Amino acid sequence: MTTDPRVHVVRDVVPETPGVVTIHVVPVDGPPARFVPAQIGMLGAFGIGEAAMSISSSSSVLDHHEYTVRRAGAITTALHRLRPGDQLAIRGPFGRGWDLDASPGDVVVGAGGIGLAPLRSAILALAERTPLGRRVIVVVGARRSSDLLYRNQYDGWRARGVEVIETVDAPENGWSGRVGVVPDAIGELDLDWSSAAAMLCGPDVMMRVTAEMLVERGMPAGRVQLTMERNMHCGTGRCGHCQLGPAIICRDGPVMRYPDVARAMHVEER
Amino acid sequence: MSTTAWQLPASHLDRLVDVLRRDADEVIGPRVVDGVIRMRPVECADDLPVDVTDEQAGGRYRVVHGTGASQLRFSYAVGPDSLKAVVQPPRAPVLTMQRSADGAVAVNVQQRHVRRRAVIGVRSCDLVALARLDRTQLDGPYPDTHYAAARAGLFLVAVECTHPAATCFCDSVGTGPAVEGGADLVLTEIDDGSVWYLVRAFTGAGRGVVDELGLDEVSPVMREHIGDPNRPRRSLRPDAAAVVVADLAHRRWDDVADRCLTCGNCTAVCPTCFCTAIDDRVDLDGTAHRDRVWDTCFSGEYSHVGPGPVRSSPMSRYRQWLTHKLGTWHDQFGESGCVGCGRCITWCPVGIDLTVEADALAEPSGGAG
Repeated sequence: MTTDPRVHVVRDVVPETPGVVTIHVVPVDGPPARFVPAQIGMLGAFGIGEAAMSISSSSSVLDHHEYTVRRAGAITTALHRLRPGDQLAIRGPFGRGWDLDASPGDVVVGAGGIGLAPLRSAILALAERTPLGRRVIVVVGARRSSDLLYRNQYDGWRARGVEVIETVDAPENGWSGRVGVVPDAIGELDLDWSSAAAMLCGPDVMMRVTAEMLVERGMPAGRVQLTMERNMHCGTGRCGHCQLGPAIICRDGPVMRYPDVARAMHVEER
Repeated sequence: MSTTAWQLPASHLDRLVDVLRRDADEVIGPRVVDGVIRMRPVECADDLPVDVTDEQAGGRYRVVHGTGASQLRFSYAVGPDSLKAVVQPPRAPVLTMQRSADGAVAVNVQQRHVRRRAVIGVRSCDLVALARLDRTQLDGPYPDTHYAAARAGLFLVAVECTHPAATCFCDSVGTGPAVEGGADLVLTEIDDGSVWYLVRAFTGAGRGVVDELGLDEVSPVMREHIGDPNRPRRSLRPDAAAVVVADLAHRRWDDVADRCLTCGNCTAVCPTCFCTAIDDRVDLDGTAHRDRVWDTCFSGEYSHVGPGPVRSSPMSRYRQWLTHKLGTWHDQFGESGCVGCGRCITWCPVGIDLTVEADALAEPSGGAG
């Protein structure tokens, strides 16, 4: 499998929440690569560098790939300047994606802020395959309601049988929904925890607290999957930057099972 | 094949270099450069150091020139260079990109030419290090093609290590001093009145060189010279892998961080430290260049993610290096990242000794970190 970049053309740039856009791309030399939800592409900002991003679009609609990018540094700022018709070099997809069949039981999807991006393709895939009687519950948390990513798509997901729970840390005037953090919202669910599975993406502390709570409720730790954000620099397991204890995140992840990262997540770095 | 041995008189060393130079694009060997034994291109046997030894200690390296009495050419331990720089240069081009006025991007990937290079004077620790480096760069679904091309072109002439440094400890980690494979030819330098080399061939290519040189076989008695009774003085505790990850709040981590300058010398000289960064820049003519450059887990940028570096303190960075080198390398690649060459001890400006740190970490912490 090649690790060389393919040139892609930008087909669309969709504004999402403040500071976040979704970039739609297609390769100039053929169809987009098949991928497993949460696999990453290395998006090249011309002459500046690359940023690792999970493909956030449907893995079964393969006429283009979508990447949801939050503006944070020089590379993502350059990516935000892309306009339809512009071209960029992308490597990938790399890494291990979500196991959508970790359990035959219910699936809890917990997302914090931009963490919903690597989960979107998984949610779409689950909506396509979920048999009757298996609940898929998406709990989306954000600081403010304006930071709830893909909010205009939630009703579409609901129409396909996915339950979506929104929760915010800081409610504005007019917010009548839930207030609080993701782990609390998940903890309030009425589920058969022992047969359920979870997929989490968000800040380290949100994932750690949620995973601990799920295990305490009786979910087998191996059924808790989470995507780790570390400095994925090469994407191919060669450069060392994205190590997390025993794991090389771009090689062994980005989706990891909780027992494989639990100890490293509890190490105090400073 | 290694049970047969041949005799190469010192006067024929030039012919060996000639044969290597004819078949290889470049022959690399030890040379004294700025008071340090480096691995550099050599053109004849006279480029190799003669009557030179070295003194190594924590934070100290000196080349010592003899009085002219010795004709030995390999009577010193490893210098700062290993095979790492040969197979993974400190800076190597990956690709260039052009962007035309209409926004179209063109990618020109650097060709992966197999460059044939022979290296003379490789020690057992560095042969083992190369095998460990191979696993980091070649195993898995995406082998590094630049590395693979450099690796495929290597012809290795090892030398039995007869003068270990005070800082190295290969025997305690099972990586030497005797060469047990991984080379094409192995030389043992012997001085029994006159200097000659006992030659063994581990590969068909190595045997081909022996045949071309027309060397005489030597008797089994002489093969007893293989290996040297000198024992390195340091040792790494056998339970180091468990010790370094046992207590990540151990007070010793703060203690060593107080001494560590986070300069990254240890990772630069380490023959297995493989971390690299992808370095993109744009020329004045608008061409984007992407190079792969050595990086170090001691830099602040190394662990950078959106909100900032994951490991900003020297404590976290030193702990990352040592726990990876001796501990989690086993989880990632099934073996230790340390081959006992001692370079990180010699070239550390403040002489931090990982064998001592591992010993200290094995003691109870005696308080919260």
